[in-house]
Amino acid sequence: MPSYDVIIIGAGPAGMHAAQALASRGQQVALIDDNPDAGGQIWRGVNNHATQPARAALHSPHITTYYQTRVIATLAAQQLLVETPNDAHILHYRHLVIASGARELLLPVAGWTTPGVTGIGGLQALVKAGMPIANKRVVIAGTGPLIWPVAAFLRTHGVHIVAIVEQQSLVRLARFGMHLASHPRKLWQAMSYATQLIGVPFWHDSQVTAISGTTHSTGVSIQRGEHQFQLACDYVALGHHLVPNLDIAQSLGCATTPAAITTSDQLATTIPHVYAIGEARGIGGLDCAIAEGHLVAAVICQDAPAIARWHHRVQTERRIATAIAATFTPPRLPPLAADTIVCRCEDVSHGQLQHAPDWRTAKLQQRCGMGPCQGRICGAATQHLYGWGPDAVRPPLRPARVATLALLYAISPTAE
Amino acid sequence: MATITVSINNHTITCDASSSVAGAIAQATHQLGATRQSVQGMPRTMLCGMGICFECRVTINGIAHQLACQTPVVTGMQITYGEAGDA
Repeated sequence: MPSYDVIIIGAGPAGMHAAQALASRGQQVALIDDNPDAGGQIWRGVNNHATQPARAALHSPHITTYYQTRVIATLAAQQLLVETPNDAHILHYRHLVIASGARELLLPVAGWTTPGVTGIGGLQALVKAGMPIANKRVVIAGTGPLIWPVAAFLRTHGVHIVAIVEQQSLVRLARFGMHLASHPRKLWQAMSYATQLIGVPFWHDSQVTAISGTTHSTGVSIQRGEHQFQLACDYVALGHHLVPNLDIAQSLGCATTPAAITTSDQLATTIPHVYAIGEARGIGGLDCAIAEGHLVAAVICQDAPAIARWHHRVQTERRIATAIAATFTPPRLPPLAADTIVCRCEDVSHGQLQHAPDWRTAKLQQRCGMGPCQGRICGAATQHLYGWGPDAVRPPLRPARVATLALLYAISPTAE
Repeated sequence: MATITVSINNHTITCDASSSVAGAIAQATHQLGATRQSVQGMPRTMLCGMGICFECRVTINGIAHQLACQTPVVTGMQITYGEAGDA
């Protein structure tokens, strides 16, 4: 069985910086990611956007990378069952670092299942992966700081941005802007996005209430105060900020809240030998993720001067995380019609769910969250809509091949 | 820009070599048309772009339920969906 000093789950900025900082101290590291390349959702490949330490991580003889690799189960005795495109492995760790990042919170609205409706980060990811977008008309709607860089990105790719529709009030957004003033680099970034988006209609205190189109999206209905109006477009990018990916931590038994894996100020979770960094520790952005990557390496290697230095840096970066959380959550939702789909995998509607007592009952009686995404989309949605908490996380964490699961049962005949 | 050819629903398509299967499908269809039918028969396609929602699952080289958004294209790859596939 391959054994590592440290296994890092997630090859985004946090995971890559942790890997490089650990490798430079002589640790044998495995870096696992389900994407075909490192870089996470923000860099998507280690290109010239990535920092120098992140790029160096990929050339270190101390780091073994596992791409297109999913964690299927967390096992006893500090082992993970992982699945690669062609194989499955059981990997042993002395320390485990969860850098599983975040996903977009995608909330139901009438017509959101229509082809042409994507996440906001989702649309950017698809365009970076080759989706043609030039001269298309796009409405970007929802809430969150992701709206601005994605809008600027789309505009540089020749997109006609029909409108940006932000749910938050101008007062709230202005307060966030003032907070940015104490972070000069972030303020500069925000101003550069604003410059790139001159002339794009921006509606605050507004929301998309319906998406039209049958085989492809053709437009949106927007509610702004008392006013309701329609806009024609080709694509609708919808998103309500980010939620951390918690399933691996929950599978290990780590304490979590809906917003974060619970950690000490030295990044330890409630389970021994398991740490959490980056967005999984609460949405904090790139600089915070990088600082926590450095800090976790210092903590694992008990490098006291480095711990002091990076701990201070993390504290500073986490302040912006607090401001982001105060500004962009929780989103308000337009009232849903009974026939609006909530669970896309199993086509379960709001009408079928609104009187269910909890998530577990909805799963058993309506099959809500029982499809291939295993509740990754509707779980967060039903938490917002109905206040349901998560159910126990059980293996397999992702749909897996029979041969992979056979490995699980071969070593653990009593596994549930 | 380097290009390669793949087969999408039995049509030979030339696409950007750095694309994902999702990107190649979008290049071939010029929009995000349905790549699967939901359990109630509604058209669906890629949503999250990052391996979470499983809406983009297609059949690749005969293996069903592969995520188009997390699979890079490879020369000669056979991609099917809808009536041509079983995803």
